[in-house]
Amino acid sequence: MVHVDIPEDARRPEVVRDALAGRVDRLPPSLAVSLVSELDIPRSEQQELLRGALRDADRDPHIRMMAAVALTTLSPEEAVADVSALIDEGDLDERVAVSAVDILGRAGGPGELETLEKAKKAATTELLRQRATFAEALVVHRHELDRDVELPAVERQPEPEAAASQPFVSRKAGKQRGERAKRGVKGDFPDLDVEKHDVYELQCGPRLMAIVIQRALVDGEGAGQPGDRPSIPAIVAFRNEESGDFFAALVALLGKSDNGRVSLVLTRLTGEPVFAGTGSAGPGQAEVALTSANTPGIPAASATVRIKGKQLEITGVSDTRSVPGLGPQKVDIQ
Amino acid sequence: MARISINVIRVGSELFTSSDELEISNAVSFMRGTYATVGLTLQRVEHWIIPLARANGRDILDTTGEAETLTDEWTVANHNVDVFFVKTFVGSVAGLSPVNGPCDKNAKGMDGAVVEVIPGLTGHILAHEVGHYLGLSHRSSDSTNLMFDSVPNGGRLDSGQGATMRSHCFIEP
Repeated sequence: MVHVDIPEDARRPEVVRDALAGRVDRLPPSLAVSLVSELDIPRSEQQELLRGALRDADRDPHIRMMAAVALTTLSPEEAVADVSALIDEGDLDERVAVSAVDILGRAGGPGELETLEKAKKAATTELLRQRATFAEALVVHRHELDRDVELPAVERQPEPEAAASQPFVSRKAGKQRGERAKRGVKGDFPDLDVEKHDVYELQCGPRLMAIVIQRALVDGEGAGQPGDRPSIPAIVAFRNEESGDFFAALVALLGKSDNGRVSLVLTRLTGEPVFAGTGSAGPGQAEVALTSANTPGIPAASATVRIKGKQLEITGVSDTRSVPGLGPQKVDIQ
Repeated sequence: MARISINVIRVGSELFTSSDELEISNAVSFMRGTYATVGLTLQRVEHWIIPLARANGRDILDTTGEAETLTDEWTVANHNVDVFFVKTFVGSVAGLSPVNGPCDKNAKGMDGAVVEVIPGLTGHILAHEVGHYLGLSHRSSDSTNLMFDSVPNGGRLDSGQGATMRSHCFIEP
């Protein structure tokens, strides 16, 4: 990882304003956006700077998308209101709309479902339709709404081959890493009440994962029947090797399956399925068998998620290799 | 002399202008010159594109996680380091790579480097991230070194770093 050292004289509102318009060579918009929250101006002016960039249809879509993301970090509620209004007004560049629906999925409430439906119907690209559909699923699961949603289709991988697989088992995280994992998850899901979550860890090959899970689901106290309504029992964060910080990487979507069983699908934050399975669950107890989705970059794995005796235990094996990535197109450039 | 090769992969290729192409070309030249100082030749530079229609929205990277996903989702099946060039990586982070990256590019975890195109800095970012991939860690106490944790920096490599890079499994004799 490498950061850009931003000159001190660029940290001024007038410079950042020009940079957001793409008029400052030494300060690309991606850096200018990150500077807004550090400017010595009132929060309302910081928001106004970003809102101006987001709403300006003449600006490069990338700048508008970045402004939307930065506005969410600064004030999720206002970002949700702003991007909803843009979608409702129509005529939104579809690439900006993709960022907008992503924000609504992670930070929006039930009131945004109508806006997401509108974005889905108006979509002319498959990318926007997929993201809006997934954003609807996120809102429904985050707010535990009794409503059917379309989840990403999952094509399963075969079980990992025993000879090439690595075993893994979860453990409860220590306080320091647990708090860092919660902070990382909160960055992407701003209204998640992390105080009501516990953190377990899983070391699988080079990757340290943190499972930020609803405490009530594990200890059974105050929880209803899991799966009765769509919910997000856990978010999985990955640890960045260099910085030691965690970032939200997978979201677990729990729902009903057949014969009183529950279904669990883990997806990337952009909706691609990664693991899926079914099992049984009740207050303070659960057993769900998961296998990998056939998604590029995902290794074959099988795991059992158990909740018993007020503890979460995840055991399983994972292949050391992943489904091969997609191939870019070769070009001749001299 | 030891040799290394890279794949230059443009994510959202339609967005790359002629000045971006010049910036990438200059970045490759900077990397070639810097690595040559420690006995490492940049052998082949192969060019690849991921058009917007296939990029799945990864032409703009909002998070570190999305950068990692990009390298998981795409792979060039050869013995070069995959370097994904993006026009926008939100925030002050301008590049990302695993330290001592894998030579099996279908191995679990991040298996490529990501570089944001920033005028005048892309060469430092490229050489720094490929340096990570070849086994180098940060030199946070030496701002003259290429592996200082921010750019711009002095862009130098020392013989110990050269030896580390030359021992990576992607190096051709």
